[in-house]
Amino acid sequence: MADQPLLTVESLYTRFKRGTDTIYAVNGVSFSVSAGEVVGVVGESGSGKSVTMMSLLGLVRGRATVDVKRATFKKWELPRLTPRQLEDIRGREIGVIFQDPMTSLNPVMRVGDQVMEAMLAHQYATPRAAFNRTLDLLREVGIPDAVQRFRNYPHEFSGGMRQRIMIAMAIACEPDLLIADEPTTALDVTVQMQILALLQELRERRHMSIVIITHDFGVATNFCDRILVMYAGRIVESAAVAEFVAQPAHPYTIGLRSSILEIGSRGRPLSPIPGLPPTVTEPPKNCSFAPRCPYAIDRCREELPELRVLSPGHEVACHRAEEVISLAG
Amino acid sequence: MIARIAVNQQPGNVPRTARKRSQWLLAWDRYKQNKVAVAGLVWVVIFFIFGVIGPWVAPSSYATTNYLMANHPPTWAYPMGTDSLGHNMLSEMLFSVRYALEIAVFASLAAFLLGTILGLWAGLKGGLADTILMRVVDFFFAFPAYFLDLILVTKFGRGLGPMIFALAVTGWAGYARLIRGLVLGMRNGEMVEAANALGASPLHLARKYVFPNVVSNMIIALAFGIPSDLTVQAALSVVGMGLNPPLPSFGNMIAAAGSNVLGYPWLMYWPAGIFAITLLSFLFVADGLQEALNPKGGS
Amino acid sequence: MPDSDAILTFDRVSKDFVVRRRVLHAVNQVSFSIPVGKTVGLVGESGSGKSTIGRLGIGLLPATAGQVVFKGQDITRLKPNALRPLRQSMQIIFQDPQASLSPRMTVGDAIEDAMNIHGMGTPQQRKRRVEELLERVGLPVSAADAYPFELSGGQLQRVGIARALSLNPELVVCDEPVSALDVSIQIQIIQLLQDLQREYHLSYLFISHNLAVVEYLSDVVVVLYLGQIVEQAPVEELFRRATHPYTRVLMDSILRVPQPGESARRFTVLKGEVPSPFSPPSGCPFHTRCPVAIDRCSKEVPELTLIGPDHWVKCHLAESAS
Repeated sequence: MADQPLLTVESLYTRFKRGTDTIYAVNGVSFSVSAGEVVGVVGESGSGKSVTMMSLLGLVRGRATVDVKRATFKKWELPRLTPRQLEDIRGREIGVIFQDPMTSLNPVMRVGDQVMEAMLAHQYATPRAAFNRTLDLLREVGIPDAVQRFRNYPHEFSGGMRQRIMIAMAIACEPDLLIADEPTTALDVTVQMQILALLQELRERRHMSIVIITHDFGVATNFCDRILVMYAGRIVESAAVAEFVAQPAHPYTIGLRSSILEIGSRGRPLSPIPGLPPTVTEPPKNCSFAPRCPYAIDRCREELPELRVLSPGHEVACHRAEEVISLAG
Repeated sequence: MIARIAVNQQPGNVPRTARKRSQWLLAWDRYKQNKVAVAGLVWVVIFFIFGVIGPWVAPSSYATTNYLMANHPPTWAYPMGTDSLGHNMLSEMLFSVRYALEIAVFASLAAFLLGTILGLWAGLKGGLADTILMRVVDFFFAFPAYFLDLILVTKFGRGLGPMIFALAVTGWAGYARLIRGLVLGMRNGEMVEAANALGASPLHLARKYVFPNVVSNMIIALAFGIPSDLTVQAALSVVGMGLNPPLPSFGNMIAAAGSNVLGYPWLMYWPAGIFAITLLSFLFVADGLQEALNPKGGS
Repeated sequence: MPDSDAILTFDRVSKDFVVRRRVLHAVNQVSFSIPVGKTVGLVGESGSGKSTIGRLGIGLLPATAGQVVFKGQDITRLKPNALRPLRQSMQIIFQDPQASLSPRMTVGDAIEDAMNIHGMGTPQQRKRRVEELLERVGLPVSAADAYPFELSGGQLQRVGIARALSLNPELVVCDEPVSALDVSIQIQIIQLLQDLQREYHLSYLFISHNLAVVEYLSDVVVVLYLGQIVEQAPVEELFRRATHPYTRVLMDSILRVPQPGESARRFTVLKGEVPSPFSPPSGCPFHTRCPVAIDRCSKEVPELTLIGPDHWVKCHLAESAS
């Protein structure tokens, strides 16, 4: 795996106006994605995991303000690009797939034409070449009878098949980075496995980087190289999967992990994290997790913990990470 | 599909807005945010006040003529001038407001009540009743309402009563279809299923669950219905089938002034101007209501 | 398998829907029963008929064939009026609590209305009970004055539970009650459901697509595929000796967080997707996707066979094995 970062983000802030409130959705997020790396962004709803990625792509909706110190993708400085240029990078250099393919596919356009369009819009191929490539892509993502299916409309496909078509569109221009926002959440479990297997296969064949946004630790730990955990608009922990599994250091990560029921959990007493994730309506000045944290001390309620290096490749935003590891272990 | 619901409270807390406040007060709070809608409402209220008191405050009857003062520009005695028959335009206007409102409000209300009852019934009952009603509604939609209105006023005359009748006959189908659609959408929803699981009787279901959830849409539809009836009324005047003269109406005044707009412009300005502002105000109010009453919108 | 200790028994229950003149066999000859105070878990993917079975169980839908027996009374052909008094004893909790509550009713009114319908208590008693219920499900009393849109998903699910509890039910159908919730909220609700079961001696029909959740809560597990039971067993037995290929696939589909030192797993892939219930495959409904199917599977419908203590499997291969 090359160490040259493909995407580098420094100090990303996104806030929304909602009525009279300001929602601080992303509060100073910095991370990078290396070439060929698979990164999982894990968090619950409202954690800012999706907004973070969409902010970079210029895809946030509503009255949003995005501030970022630096966001470099390959040779481009994303904040300096015009919306037109960003649009061109999206789809050509960065593919995006969403949870619900039905909202991103055009219901009155044949799926083959939509995949072709993905290439033609970016002048990636001539119409003839795009046509042939579309058939290849449909086969590659596992749509049987590609020639016939080319002419079908989205509603004639099952949820899993639609997600495959979305993937074909997203990878049509051979992007270096694929952003997948909850790509399997709406699917049946057996189909979820198929889509994950497909993404893994594509990643190996094409040496793409993937950022997968998910609420599911099971998906993230089995699919990714590295995991970022988000809470209240901040990254609270970042580690390679092996380290993440062996030694989670943030109390939120630990709490969330023990919240997951797995086969064999029967009879185990449950230890839910009390309370609810907050909506952040002012810039955080202390640890947002402190009110729910069993390890919180006064310092947590007074001082914002910065993301710091715990061990090489393992970063955590917790004042007491070292103690937490020994206490939780 | 898995619905994801945003969590938006501090741990264990219930929202700060959780005081016992009715939905209507909350809607009014939202309505007040919309300045244009508030302005529209002010005008509509003024319009209604004059609709009620107009005939009493009018300096003379709409029928009083003064041939010596025909086609006179505005003066102190005749603040809006006079027309070719020497009618005091101010009186004409005040009576017009009354009749315009009377027709629009009663016609809309009649159409609305009929449409709502039939729509609720068809939507909740389903089956044959629903099918038949919808065929009738389709007929009314297929037939241009304006022509039907023309036919009806030709047949039954051009007084207040026939006018209200004509507009109500062409108006109810729209309300019926709207309500029936809303009810149908709800009938297959989880809210109704949940109420059924609680053991709610059909009447309880309609009263406590279905009706409160369609009432705001109905109010919005009514708010759009009134200005539309005002327009049709005026449009009938343009082809000479409006309120029977000497009964005054905006449409009649505008139609009459049209032939002489260069010579006696005030005859056009007053009725056309006030009518336009009124229509716009009603539409602003309707728009404002739509925003305020839609519970998913503002929160 | 009639059972005198059962609160609810399905006896060869089928349900057909007619959709645009085509018949959909949503539930096909399903038999099982829920023992008093126990939980039966229904697992399956979309199209398995699990939600339909839940609704059949409390008479929200009429069965096309077979019998649904609640506490010894056949409720299959009861008229709505005759069923209404029974509603108190059987309640349901929905996947999407927001959709199941009227947006025009405060939380308190929603809970009180349930008692209202059945004429329970005086207005003061009902008010007091609303407060007790809110506290019991872990919400502050002030929540009574909130409208549904002001609460989060987890809080709304607690409201749904309080409303169901207000009628003192004996049986509660839980239709994917945690699927729409965040992970950390899911186990709060699971814990609550478990505590309430002990406290009020409730019987649950717990419907989920997540085998891990079902394992945690259920005493008996019923695995469904295309409207049919493919395997059914007491929970320990099922997880010790899952026999139907589909059950095993479902188990494999739960992505476990790897243990330290353990490498990430390859994603085992089951070919195809659930076939359309309008045109189910011949023979065993699972044969089109089954990794171990033989010729016979596409031709002959397998019988539900007893292969262990209360362990039933509908698979040709299991038949020959036993």
